Amino acid sequence: MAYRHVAGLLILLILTSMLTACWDKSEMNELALVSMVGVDSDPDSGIKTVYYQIINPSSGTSARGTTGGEQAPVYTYEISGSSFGEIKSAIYKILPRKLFIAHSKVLLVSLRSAREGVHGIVNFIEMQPNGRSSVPMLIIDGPISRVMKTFTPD
Amino acid sequence: MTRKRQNQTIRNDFFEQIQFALGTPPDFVCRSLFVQEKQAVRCVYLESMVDKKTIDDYILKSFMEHSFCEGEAPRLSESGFLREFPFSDPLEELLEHAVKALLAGHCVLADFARERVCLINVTEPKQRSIDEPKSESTIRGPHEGFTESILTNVGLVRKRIRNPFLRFEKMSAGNQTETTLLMVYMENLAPDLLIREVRGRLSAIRTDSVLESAYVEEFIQDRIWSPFPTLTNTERPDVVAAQLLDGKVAVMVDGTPNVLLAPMTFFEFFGSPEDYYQRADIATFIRWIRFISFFTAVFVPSLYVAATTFHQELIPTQLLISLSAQREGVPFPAIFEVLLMEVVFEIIREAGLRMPRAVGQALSIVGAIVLGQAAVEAGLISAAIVIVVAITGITNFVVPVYSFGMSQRLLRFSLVLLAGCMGLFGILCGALLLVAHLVSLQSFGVPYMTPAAPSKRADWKDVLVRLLRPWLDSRRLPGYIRNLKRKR
Repeated sequence: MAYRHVAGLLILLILTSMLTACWDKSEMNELALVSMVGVDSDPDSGIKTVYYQIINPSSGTSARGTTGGEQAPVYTYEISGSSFGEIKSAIYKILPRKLFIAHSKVLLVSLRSAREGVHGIVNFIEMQPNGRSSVPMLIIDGPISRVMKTFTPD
Repeated sequence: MTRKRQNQTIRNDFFEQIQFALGTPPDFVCRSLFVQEKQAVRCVYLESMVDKKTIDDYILKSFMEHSFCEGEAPRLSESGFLREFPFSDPLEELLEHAVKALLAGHCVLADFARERVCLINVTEPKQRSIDEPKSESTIRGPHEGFTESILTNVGLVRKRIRNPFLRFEKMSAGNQTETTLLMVYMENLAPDLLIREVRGRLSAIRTDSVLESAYVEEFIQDRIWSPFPTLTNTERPDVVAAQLLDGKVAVMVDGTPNVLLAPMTFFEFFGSPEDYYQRADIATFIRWIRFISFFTAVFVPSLYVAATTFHQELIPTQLLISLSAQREGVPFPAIFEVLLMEVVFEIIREAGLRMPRAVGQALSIVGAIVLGQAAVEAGLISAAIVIVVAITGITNFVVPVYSFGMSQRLLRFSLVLLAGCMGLFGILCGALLLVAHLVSLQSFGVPYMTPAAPSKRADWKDVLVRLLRPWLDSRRLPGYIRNLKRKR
């Protein structure tokens, strides 16, 4: 009798572990590894632009050899919208992979958008799951896109 | 009256009955020796079991010397020399007894005139010479191992413990095989409680056959549903001697070099005989290596699956970039990759055990190059998986007791499945279940996790470190043995 109970309990346990299915699971090649996030906003039109610099793992930094030399080491995606919420939902129109910002090194904010207040920007960053709170925020005087489109080997 | 009739039957067809009981075996030899007129002695044995030289030299020769010429006066009317042989009255169960004796390699002498029967042990056990133990080799220390002959094994233990308190209790198990079991212990050291427990469990064995000590182990182990062995088995007489001197009980089974030892605790499986044959500091270091490799063998594949599919933020950025580059173009999820490669590794390992030695080279090339290198280059799996599988495969062999290493394989697979479903949370669940199970296990009345679970500080002396001999009280038994002694 006791065995039957234990067996039933075990089967239940196994089945419950199946219930989670693919919960939270994401293979590494489904992730877009973000190394830098840049935020800019045009004070006249109010249009906000977010840049994501994404590492291209097969660009040659891997252990699989440096054959992929033709590929750029980073890709920079640029999304504009009237609000951060809109940007967040619009990003997957151009990005095939899941944004993974846990490894981002820095948050760049342009001077003109910082003048309007960083509250919204910080809120936008903090609202993303997996984001780290220890990322330095740098304020840049000048066009942010030029910084975002350079590759900084780390 | 009844006695006489019985004797009558013995005289007439005693040997036919024996032969019939054995099914007229090809190695059945029946020699008639005439002492004098009407007084015939028959000598019966199984050719395959006996030492023929002994029969020729001692039994037959004595008959030759005393045989009479025809017509000579019967000087030895009472056949005095026959008295030298310890003839016994034919018992009621004599036939059965004689058959058993024949199968054990005895020679049956029957003196028909006096209706007496004599059983002489002329057995010549078929055995190999004492060899180095194959599965437990050490650099330093004795190199002799047990053999399949139980008498040789007894001798090997006696040689090491010259002590009258060394006890061997003979039992037999297996209705069909009648295998001899020996329960070995030091009467002055082993706790009575333990001896009684082992004796009780051994005598409760009801089975048809015992061909190896694992048969016995399955009957006397504490918990059937556990991946962990609660008894150890060894081929080394020095290990058995050391454990007996720690107050444990050994069970020898005839026909196998593997001797069982009980009780065993979890931490004792990490000890190797070589620990005591080399410097204490080195032995401690190596023991730690074993602990680490146990955890590596059990947890590394599941940690890899959990970290790469659920918790990528745990991986350092550089490593993550490199890992995800390897995964580009790999079609399967990480858990499938790990399971695939682990199963392939287990298959190679099993094949390596069974295959003829001549093709070993070919298999290792196939295993190492084709399945490692080529599978990665073909994009079937990522390169890191090969490292993970290789590490777990190697660390699995570090534990000195093979049966304990087997348990790690089962744990590894279940943890990988849990990690694939629930990530680190799943591993934690698995680890908690594992700890709960380990703590609930007992080995012959000794908690399996002693000295960690019933925590006793004094017992930690020979667990995580191997203390120097002079620092240990030489007469001190392990703590749990002392506990059992106190209970009595």
